[in-house]
Amino acid sequence: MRTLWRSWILAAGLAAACGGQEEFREIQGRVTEFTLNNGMKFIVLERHKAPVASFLTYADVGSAQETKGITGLAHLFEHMAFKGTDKIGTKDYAKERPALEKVEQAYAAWQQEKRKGGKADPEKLKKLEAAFKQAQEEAGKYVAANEFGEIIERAGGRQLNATTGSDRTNYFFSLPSNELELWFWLESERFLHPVFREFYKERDVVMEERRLMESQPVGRLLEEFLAAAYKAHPYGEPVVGHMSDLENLTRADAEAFFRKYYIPSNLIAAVVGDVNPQRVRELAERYFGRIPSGPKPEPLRTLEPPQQAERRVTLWLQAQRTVMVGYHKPDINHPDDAVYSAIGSLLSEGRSSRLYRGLVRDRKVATQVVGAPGFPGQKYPGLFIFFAFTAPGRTNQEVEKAIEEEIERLVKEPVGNEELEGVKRRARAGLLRQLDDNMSLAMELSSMQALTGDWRNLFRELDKINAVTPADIQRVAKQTFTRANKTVGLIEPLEAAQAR
Amino acid sequence: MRRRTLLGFAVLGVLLAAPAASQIPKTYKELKYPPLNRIEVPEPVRFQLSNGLVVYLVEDHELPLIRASALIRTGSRWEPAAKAGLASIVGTVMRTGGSERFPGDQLDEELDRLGASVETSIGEDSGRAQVSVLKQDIDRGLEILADILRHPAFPQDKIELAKIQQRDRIARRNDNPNAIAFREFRRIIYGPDSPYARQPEYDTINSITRQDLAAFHREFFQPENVILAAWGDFSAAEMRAKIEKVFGSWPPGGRPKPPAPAVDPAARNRAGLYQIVKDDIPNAWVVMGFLAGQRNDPDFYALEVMNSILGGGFSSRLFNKVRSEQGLAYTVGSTWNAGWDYPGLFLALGSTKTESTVQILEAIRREIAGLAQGGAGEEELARAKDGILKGFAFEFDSTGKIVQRLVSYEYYGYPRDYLQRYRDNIEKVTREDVARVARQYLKTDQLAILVLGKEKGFEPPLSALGKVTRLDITIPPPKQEALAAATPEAAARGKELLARVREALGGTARLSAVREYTVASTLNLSTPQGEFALKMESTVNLAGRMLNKMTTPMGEMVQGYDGQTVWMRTPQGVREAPASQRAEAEGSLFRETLRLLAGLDSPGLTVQALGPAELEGRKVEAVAVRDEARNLQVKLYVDPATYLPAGKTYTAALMGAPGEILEIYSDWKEAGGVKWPYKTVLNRDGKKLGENTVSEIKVNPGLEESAYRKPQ
Repeated sequence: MRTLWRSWILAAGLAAACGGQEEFREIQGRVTEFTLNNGMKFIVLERHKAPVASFLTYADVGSAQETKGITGLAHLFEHMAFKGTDKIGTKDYAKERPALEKVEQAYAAWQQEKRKGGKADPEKLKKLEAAFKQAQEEAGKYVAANEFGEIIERAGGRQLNATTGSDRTNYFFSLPSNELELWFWLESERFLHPVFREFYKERDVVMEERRLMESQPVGRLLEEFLAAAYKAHPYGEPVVGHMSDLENLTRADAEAFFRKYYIPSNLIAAVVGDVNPQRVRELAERYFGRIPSGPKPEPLRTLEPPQQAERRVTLWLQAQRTVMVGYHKPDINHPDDAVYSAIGSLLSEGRSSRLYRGLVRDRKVATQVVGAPGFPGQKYPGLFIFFAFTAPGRTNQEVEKAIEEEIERLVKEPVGNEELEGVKRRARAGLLRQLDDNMSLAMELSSMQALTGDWRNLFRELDKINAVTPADIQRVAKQTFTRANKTVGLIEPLEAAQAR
Repeated sequence: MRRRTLLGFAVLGVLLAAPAASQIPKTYKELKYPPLNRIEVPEPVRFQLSNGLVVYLVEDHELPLIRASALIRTGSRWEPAAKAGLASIVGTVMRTGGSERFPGDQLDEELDRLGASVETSIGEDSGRAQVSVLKQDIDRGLEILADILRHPAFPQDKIELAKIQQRDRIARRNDNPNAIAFREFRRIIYGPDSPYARQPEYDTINSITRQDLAAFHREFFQPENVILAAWGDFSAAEMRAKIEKVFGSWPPGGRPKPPAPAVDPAARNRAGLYQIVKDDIPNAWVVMGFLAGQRNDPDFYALEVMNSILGGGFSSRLFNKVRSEQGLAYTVGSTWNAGWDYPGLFLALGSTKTESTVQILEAIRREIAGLAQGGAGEEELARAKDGILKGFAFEFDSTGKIVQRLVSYEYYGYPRDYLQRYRDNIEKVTREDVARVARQYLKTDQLAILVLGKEKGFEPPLSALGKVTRLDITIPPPKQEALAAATPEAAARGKELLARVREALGGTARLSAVREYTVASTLNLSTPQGEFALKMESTVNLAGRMLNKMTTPMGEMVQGYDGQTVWMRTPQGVREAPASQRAEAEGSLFRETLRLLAGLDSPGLTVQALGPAELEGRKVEAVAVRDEARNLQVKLYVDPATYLPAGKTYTAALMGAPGEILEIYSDWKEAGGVKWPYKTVLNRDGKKLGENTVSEIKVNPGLEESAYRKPQ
């Protein structure tokens, strides 16, 4: 019984190795792509299961494009992109426009006095602040609150949101498919005639978002951990921004950022669902063709220099023990990228994964653990990170040591064929499971296009994983998981010690 | 076959002929849409096996995948209160432990090799078992699913593993403020002992046995309690045969389905102001609400629309006013969370910086009151209704969604066409309906309001708003082992033994001269990864102060307790530990041998001889000292030959985990006229934790009182 079952597994595993991207031909055949004259790229995937469609705009800009002093701007801009245009979100733009200018002037005057620091005149400060608030209130009279979102909601829209990461900013929602043109109308106006109204209030909202992060132990750990792992590259900065930067960002900063990065050649749109690609192309040319082209922003200059020594941060908090370990790795376009994916799968996918089995089930030093590549981004060299919740009564040191032992196994012992076949079969099954949701397809296709230059890499990745050998895994593990390349972040609890 | 809209092409033809720019309407309102393509709803096949198990099947050939999901009539609301956590552990161990035929560890390997998953879980009001496989693996998937549902093995090691996870969840439950706020608000409304709000504690988890798991399984896992849905790349006829094969032989259990436990009527009346103090966060959470209703209440539809206007979505009143207009919050909104078969909660909430705590409270309450008094406008009503009605096509964009919805309706006893009825009823909601339900339900004087955050740092203080009820969220430590009531003889014998211990250690005169002592030592912790050495210097003042210095690989740490506050100095600076740590510090001081012997006559303390016992093969006499009111207890083992303490056991939290600690003493030496054990072996829950070796003891080192206080 036992042996039969074993060999049966083996047979299943071997069969899996044959399944490459070939079988995903059909879905790839349903993709249409085109680029407008101004450089904006479109990817359209037909899926006629239900009369709905998902829309996503991928802006190839994230917090990695920020410099000192303007951290948080990419994310704050994302919030501003919901504030409307000269036609949306206003009761009377002719009157609102000068009112908004007055807000800017009042803010600048107040800030100028504030910058004098100790020498600032307190009476004058109070007056200037009051004047600013007054100007804000005046401009507020013309605001049609959140009209951009309201239009989408009234159209029966779903999944309305936007996200900002280190690599990207995404804007998305879904509509009943007959309202296709509404997306074109709204989204093209959004990036053609944006108006940054309520800027300083939205900045307050983002500061609240930052406080939410600060109130979470893991949020605080992540920020300190990234700051330790990077000393030069902007991946070390928090996406939400530093509080002092948020306090000083201006509408002019946001406008400059917009002009520089929100040019058509920096945007990719993905449309997935019950749509006719010909019609999508027509509408794209008509609506988005209006956006003037601009020079592609210069690539980032800074590269993180090779790490020279282990780095550590420990946070003592009113929270339970938590461990993060990270190692620098190359970006998504490196030839070894699939090897890192395979290592992540070996370590973390499923209950038979090495980390779950080793740390949770057998050693019982952790209650949750994961190890994965690609944090905080993939466009530039990121980190392979391990994250664990230390089990009650166990120490962070035990968890760290256990992770090291699993790493050592990767370096010293070649991975068995059976285990590697599991990785390959899971990669195929995992890809299949991603293909039945319009929005997740829109996200995956646009990401692959932006990060690797071709959406087809979503499927080619399978062939690359199928080609990974046990020797590749040993080689890459040995190169990556070294002492000098390691950053550790720990949460230690504030708790009463027993007397002895 | 799908119909392509001819109209779409016709429109396209016209558009192509015209110059592009002029085609763009000035306002989106001028856009003309073609009719929506027909929503093609697959009709699920429903049938019942002769044993009562209900099945829904839908073919979907888009991808070579098959999924199955069973909803099972069980849940934590039916577990015994004293065993809170049992249902969740059953749900976990069914899968991690597997069955006799499919042991859990082997399942882990097999499923991961297949790229498949079989998972089970039990939540508050239902259990779930799910299979997701590539289509060629469906036979294996179903076979596994049926066997672990019918014959779970519940092996002891996987029960222990699940208990570690549960204890970890308990230990971490106060780490995140948002989780605290939601949980505690539920407890305020339903009551902390309600089946809808109670939570696992160390005691309830510790008391759960394998028999409890087996009994719980027997009670609920019968085919009559299971509704199974499968969808994906199969033929319904073949799938039916496969399901008959693995589930058909499951004999009916014959037990009636359990009805939903009632909600305490007092839950309707929890108005008040509640506060939880959390001092280490820069923001406050404000949650307010009351007991709501069920999805089958006649008013449900109007309430759903009302809530959407108040705080649902991107352009609700709360979002517009509190977030966009006032910039007070990132998170703000409300939900009318109607239950399927018991009353759910209405809640409105927001999070803001400490300074604006009261401001956001008032702002949210103002919007609730405004809707109650003024009702909603025509535009708002249209937004809320259109949002639901025009997006109706999204209810049919995934086969899993369609079939699982039907399973839920049947599980909770709703009609199969409930979705259509819901739609029709939403359509009928008028402004008058919204005004009426808002007036009837949104009563600001009936709100329970919970504020979580710093105690101070905002104006006015909470007390200015009304009477404040402070909630204590300290995690209850496990109860001490229950001892038989002390007989007068046992009490006398106990005191006599401890008097002899006092003599053996140096005599009353010398002991009472000790006011304070410092013990320098090395603590070697044993772990599976080897030993970790910590240098320690512990000072105890018998008046009830404590100061520990530790040198760890992370740097030097100092922990102090001045009788009021537990604090720590780490390389990161000085921090106050949560108030809950005070009990741990008091427990630690309580157990100090010299302090224990000096305070035997304190009121509230009971001493009791427990008779002969065995400690690591040695014959000893056991004495218990107990302070019932403070839930403190220690057992001292006395060597009958020397009357020196041979060891001590007690319950304490060490590194975030309460456990049974055993200290074993040896290597007795004199310092300051008193005998001390220079070596202590520490065990937790029967396993060696480490060894403490003393290098030096100073008696009456004369620390300043201020040394115990938190440095400024």
